[in-house]
This record gives sequence, C-alpha cells and structure tokens, in this order.
Amino acid sequence: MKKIKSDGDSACSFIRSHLIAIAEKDVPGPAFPGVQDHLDSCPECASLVQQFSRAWEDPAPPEDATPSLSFFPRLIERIEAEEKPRSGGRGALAIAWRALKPAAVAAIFLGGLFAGHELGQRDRAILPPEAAFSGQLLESFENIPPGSVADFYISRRNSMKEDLE
Amino acid sequence: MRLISRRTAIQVPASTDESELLRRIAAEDLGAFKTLVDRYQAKVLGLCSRMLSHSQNAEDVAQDVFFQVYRSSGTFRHDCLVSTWIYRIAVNRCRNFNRDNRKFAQWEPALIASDGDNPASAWTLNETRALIRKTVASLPEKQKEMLILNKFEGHSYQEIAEIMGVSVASVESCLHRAKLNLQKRLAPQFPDLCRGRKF
Repeated sequence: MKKIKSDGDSACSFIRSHLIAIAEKDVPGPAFPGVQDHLDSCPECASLVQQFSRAWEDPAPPEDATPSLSFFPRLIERIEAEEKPRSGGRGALAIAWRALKPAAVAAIFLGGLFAGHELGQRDRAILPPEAAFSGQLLESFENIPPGSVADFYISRRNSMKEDLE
Repeated sequence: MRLISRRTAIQVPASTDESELLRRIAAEDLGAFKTLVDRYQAKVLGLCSRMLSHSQNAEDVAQDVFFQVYRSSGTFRHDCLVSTWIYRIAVNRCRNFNRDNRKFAQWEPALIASDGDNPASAWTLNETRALIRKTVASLPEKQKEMLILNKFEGHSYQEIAEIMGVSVASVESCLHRAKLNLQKRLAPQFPDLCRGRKF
C-alpha cells in the first residue's frame, strides 16, 4: 500500500481512509505507532477497524451462492435440448441428404456447365455487326438492277479485267 | 453425440483425477460430469455472483460455464489444471455477460450507517461485508476480477495469472491498484468519527 502520511489528517479520517492497509497490517512503520495509539484511545475507530478487518479477512460468500437443487437437472435438460436437433439430424432425411449431397452437387455443377455451353452456342449464332454488314452487302450486289449506275460500273470493271487478261 | 438420457450414469469416485474426469466427460460419461459439477458448482456460482453486475443471473451464467465445459471437454489440452480451465471459462463468461448487459447494469449505493451517536456500532459484520462486495463490484473490470479471484476466492497470484492469461507481475500491479482504488472508494462510506483529533 502507499506510504501513509498522518500529518494534518484527522486521526479518524486517516483510519477510515486506510482501512485495507490496517486490516492487512500493511501500515508503514512510522505511521503504525500513531495508528495503534489512536485505536487504543478511540473505541469507535477500534470497533470499525475490528469489524472491517473481520469482514476483509473473511468475506463470506453471498447468500445466493448456494446452487439450487435443480442446478444439475436443468443443466442436463439444456444439454439434451441442444443435442436433440443434432441427433434429429441423423434421421432418415439427414442420412438421405448426406448420401445424395455429392450427387446433388455434381448435378448442379453439370447443369451449370450445360447451361453455360448452351448460352455460348446461342451467342455464337448471333452474327457480329461487321459480319452482318458484309452479308447484307453481298446480298445487295446480287440484286443490282440492270441499267443502273452500279450495273454500268460493274460491267465496265468486268470488261476492263477481261481486256487485261 | 448421443442423447444423455440413453446413457447410464455410473457413480464416479469423488477422488477421481480431474483430467481423467474430463476424458470421461468427453466420452459422454454423465456420472463423471455430475462429479465435476458437484465439485465446482458452488465455487463457480460464488465467483459468478460476485463478478456479475446482476447477481440474480449467476446461476444462468454458471450453467453456461458447465455447458461449455461439457461441450469443450474433448478439446481440453491438459496444459493447465482443470480447475484453472473452469475458472477461466467462468471469468470469460462473466466478462461477456457484463459487457452485453452493461446498458442495464445498476450500481446500488452502499449502505450508510445512520446511527449518529455511535456510527461504528451501526455496522454489523454482514453489512460491512456487503459494503465491501458492492464497492468491489464498482471497480474497473480487470481490477474487480483479480481482486475477487485473490481476496474472495483465495487464488494465488500464480493461479490468477494462469486464469487471466497474464504475467504474475501484472497480477501484482493490478491488485495493488485495485486495493488503492477500493480503499479510496470505501473511505467515504464510513462516517468520520471524530474529525479534528490528530495523531
């Protein structure tokens, strides 16, 4: 405990503010004779110190610290209640689920793969914009009306190619 | 785990080694569990009722402690005493309970002796004990835990260090602070008997 300074303190207030140190006989040497003298001359402080020392030395257990008779049965009930859902989980349903779980996981995985493949194929069927454009262009070349500017240009180009050959 | 009701409770000798008891509890031996509970229920309940801000919940928390002992018996590493392990569970449970119920914790003011003529005589031993308990309950959590384990439960510094998972030096210093703090809080509870009289 901290060093006790008795100067200037009233004796009783010194005693009451150092009850634990006094009860544990942890009062430093210089203060101890003064404490002892005061306790000899002040019955109130002596009684307080005696009472406190007894209480401090033997702090009795709280009155309600005695377990009730139902303590253990309640504990067992609680453990059983906690275990029931677990043991219930071992029923037929749980066993079936445990057996079918890998198959279910595999089915979900394969289903996912199949669905992904299907989606990929569908995406492939849809032509990209540039392919669609070239397709439309070729189609328009096949349907060029005779006598039009385009027809004239193409026929001229074809004749030039023949001349070169 | 199988249901307890299906198991047979075989009477276990009270002297059975606690590590052996735990091994048997892990193997779902109800008799071993009852022996362990009988051995520690009063101590755990006492510890809980002192540590909790609501002592009426002590039995519920003590049940939690033994429930955890039952469930964790298989994982006990046997690196400390079984009693230390149980106390550690109890301290942690109480700490969690206090933390979860901090909002509702109520500090009851200590009893004040009212007899003006002879105030000291107004204090019975039980009142003084109750006052000490209430003042201890108002200490900071760690100081309160260590003081209760040391002063009320009679554990050595070494045991407290193992229960709390700290060094012995830390226990010493925390207990020192706890006593100073307790002293400071206790002083105003006692009336100044003869102010002015000097040593």
